[in-house]
Amino acid sequence: MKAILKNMFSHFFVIYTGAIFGTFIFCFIFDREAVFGIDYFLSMIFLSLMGDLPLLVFYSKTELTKVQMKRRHLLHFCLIEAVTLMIGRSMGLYGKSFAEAAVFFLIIAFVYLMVLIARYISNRIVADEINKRIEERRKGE
Amino acid sequence: MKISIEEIDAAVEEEIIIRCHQVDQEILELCRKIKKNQNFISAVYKEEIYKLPVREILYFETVDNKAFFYCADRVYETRLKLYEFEEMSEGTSFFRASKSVILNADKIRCVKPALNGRFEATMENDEKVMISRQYVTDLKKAFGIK
Repeated sequence: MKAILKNMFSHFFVIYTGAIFGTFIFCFIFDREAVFGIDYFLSMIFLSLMGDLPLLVFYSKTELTKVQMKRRHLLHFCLIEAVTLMIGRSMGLYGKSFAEAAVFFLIIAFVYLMVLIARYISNRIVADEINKRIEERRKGE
Repeated sequence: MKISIEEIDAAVEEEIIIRCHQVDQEILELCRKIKKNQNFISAVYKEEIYKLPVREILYFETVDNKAFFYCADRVYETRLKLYEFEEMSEGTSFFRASKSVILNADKIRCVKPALNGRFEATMENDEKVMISRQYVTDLKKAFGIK
């Protein structure tokens, strides 16, 4: 549980950054003249906090298998979309039209994918470094 | 580096003292190799007790309140608890990989990233073992990466 809470804390900032970036994309497409008050940034904090909660789906007392992890990732993505779509609508972040809701959905999906890709690239670098060290150790033996 | 060997009386416990200017990665590696070569552990295989060289262990795992040592071709049972083996193997090539696994870094063939910040280690016998996100720091440390 401690690890999940730690994870949630760091994720909050990732989601907040993603939400601000998502706002930029959304306004770039629909409303280039948009002006935001201080309340908007508070709303984004609330949205990020709510978006953080679905991370609890990864909580498990035992180590998750590959299949379990894939399933929970899918569930996490669905929950993130549901939470952000509901909160976004109630805050008036997007209009009533299907097109705006669809773009909002796609922006969330895009940010989600970007976070996954960024994490994979960073972990790939670590894995390559470790594999290099393993190779060096083998040569040294 | 100068190497000195001093013969002592059989009644006195043998010891290795390293006198160095600074404890660096090279010294730690040397300590790790010395520790690795001297440890043996008792484990059960088919109701027979074996004296198992610790360096032969790929990983230690607890499953349903039972603990096992996984070697290249055999799985030995042990009465050791996870925390006991963790304490015993401190300063060696073993590191905590998840809630129930302690992995031997010397027996990893390669690693690759997995979902949710985890890593998948392929062991020398081609077995795949998951390394949890919260223990990735320990994995990096085992290979001298900060």
